[in-house]
Amino acid sequence: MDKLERINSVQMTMLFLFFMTGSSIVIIPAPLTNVAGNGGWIALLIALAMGMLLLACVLYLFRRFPEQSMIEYSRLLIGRAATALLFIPFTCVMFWHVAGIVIEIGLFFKSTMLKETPTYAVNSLLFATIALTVRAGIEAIARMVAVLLVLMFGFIILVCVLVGNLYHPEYLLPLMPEGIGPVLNAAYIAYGFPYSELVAFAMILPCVWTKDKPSVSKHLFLGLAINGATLILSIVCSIMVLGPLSGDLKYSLYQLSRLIFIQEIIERIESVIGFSLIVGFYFKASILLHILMRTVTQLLGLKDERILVFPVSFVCLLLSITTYTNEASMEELVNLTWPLINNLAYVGPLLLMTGVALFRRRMAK
Amino acid sequence: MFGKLVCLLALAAGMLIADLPKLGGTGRGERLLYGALCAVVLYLAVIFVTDAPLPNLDICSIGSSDLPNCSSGDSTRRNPNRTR
Repeated sequence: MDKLERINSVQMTMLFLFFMTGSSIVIIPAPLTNVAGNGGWIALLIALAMGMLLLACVLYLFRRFPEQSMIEYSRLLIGRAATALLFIPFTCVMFWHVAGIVIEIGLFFKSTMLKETPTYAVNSLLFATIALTVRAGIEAIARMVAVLLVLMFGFIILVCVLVGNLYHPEYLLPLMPEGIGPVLNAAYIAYGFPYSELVAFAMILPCVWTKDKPSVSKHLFLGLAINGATLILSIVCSIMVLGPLSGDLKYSLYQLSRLIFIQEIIERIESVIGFSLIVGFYFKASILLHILMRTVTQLLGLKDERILVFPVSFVCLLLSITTYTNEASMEELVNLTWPLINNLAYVGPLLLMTGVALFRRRMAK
Repeated sequence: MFGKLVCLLALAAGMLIADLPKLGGTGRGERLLYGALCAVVLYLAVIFVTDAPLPNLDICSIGSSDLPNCSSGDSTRRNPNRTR
């Protein structure tokens, strides 16, 4: 995690893909189809387009300041005091964000596979693993990512193929039974989670090797397109299998895996698939914790971020087991409040810096 | 409550065993922040173990009036039914 740690562009793209797809593949299909019905995939396309715009802003700033993180170029663009003012809420939201992902893991386990296990035991083990991963550094995370990415995406495709005998394409129609309103509402949810969160990724983009930097833009856009295609695939598959029920059943992909039944040979494989989906949560939380550590140390001008990994993880763990333990309140937070918080804490600073960078460039000409 | 305490103490012991020997070699800022984070851990640990309705991210306290879940203002959410 020191300044010498570098990864290549493909590894960064795989981290980005995990960051964007990790938890959303399990969570996002249900709220989208619940709000927008069959138009859930259209809502995702709208949110994806907004995500592309945000990524364009992130990459514009990355091209202008290739060796500097978001905090470092913010100091150059708007000064130290304004940077501190913008990044204190950013850091606080990141604490909440890391905790939020682990809350979701806890809720997922509680309602699917480990119903009798106390959530604090699940969360504690996960946080211990996440903290050790982050302490190992971004190079170690990047080396692990390829195998587990193949595992996670392999299982997603496997589920979609194995439930093929249950597809009812007629369930996809009508596309927007209640008009465009619910679709825009669902797009707002998907924009808040996961697309507006990609702004935080600007903190670790300078970790890419200098020779690989020109290809980062192309790779990250490709990663975002793969993320969008995967999420649309899972939404469409869950609508085709579950029909009108797809909005009411949480964790759509897991629900699909429960329905797999092939000649009494392949059945009840949901636990295997559930654990492979958890890999996505684990990686997202690890990447976010790494970004949080980097944000805290750069904001406060500290040199050693490794020493702070355990206490920061401990704070996040305790936030995950003391806040939003009620599933309904967590759902409301994700659907209503989280997009707003993300806009204020993540997107606001990014747009401000992009505006200032563009203005300064024009003035320099 | 006993299970929660054991879990917390085990994690805290692990953290301190790993970090204390290295803490002396770090800068003043790191040590100060480490102390501040430990204070936050202690506060949240009290909330966790005792289920006390103290201010937290989902329960904001302003003066004498609590504003449970700032986003919705739903008063039934104060100290939500903990599922564990």
